[in-house]
Amino acid sequence: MNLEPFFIAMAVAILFLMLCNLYRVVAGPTVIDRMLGMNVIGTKTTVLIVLIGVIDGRVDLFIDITLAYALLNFITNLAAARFYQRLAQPVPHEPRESLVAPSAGPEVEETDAPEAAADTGRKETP
Amino acid sequence: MILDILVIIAMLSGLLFFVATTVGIIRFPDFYSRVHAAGKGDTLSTTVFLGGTIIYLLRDFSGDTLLTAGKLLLIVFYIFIASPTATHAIIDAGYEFRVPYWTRSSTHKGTEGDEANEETMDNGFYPEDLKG
Repeated sequence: MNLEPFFIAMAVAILFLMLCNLYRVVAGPTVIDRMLGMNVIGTKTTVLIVLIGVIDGRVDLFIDITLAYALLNFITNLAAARFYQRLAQPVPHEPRESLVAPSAGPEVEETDAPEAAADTGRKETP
Repeated sequence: MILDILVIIAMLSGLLFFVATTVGIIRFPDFYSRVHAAGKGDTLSTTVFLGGTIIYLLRDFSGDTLLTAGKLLLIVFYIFIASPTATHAIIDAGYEFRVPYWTRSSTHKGTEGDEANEETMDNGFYPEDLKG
């Protein structure tokens, strides 16, 4: 049985569904939605490259490209996800007061204040 | 002949799972449910598709096709591990991003002036400079 028209039909169907996924990439409300759509499209590109190799009759050539593409897609998605995860966490510009001494107690400040006064005193005496 | 029918069945079921994934990604109202559709259907449809390709390659059995089928099996194993990991990283980033989640009252998006609706839409906020 000649399966080549079936494979071509499968490749065209996958391409059409990838275009449908591209809607989510274009019209996604947030950046994370776009990243999700690109993840699905990249995973399906793996299948599409293998199908092109099967249609062409040279799968042993295309299989290395597929392996490299799968690795690259995974690394790219992981890097973009980590980037936006870091970006969502706000960087504190000023140290807040509540961060300084929730458990230190009032004794530390009392001992700190005479030391600072003594330092300034030593600097002023000569 | 039987192997050909097996290849056709595998690829059609993979296409069915991918159609389900696409419909879920397009029509689900929420980021988290979209991730639910993408993470499972994408992995399974890719696995089934490449399994059908492996069966097609092993139809004429020789050393070269065995090596190629081994590489394809490696890709299947890799995608079976890497795709849920990437989906987990994406949903982790979305959770830190505070993407607003879907509630029942936020289905009526078109009705304006509904104060309760606006309150439920505002319970997860967009950081202003990060809004896609």
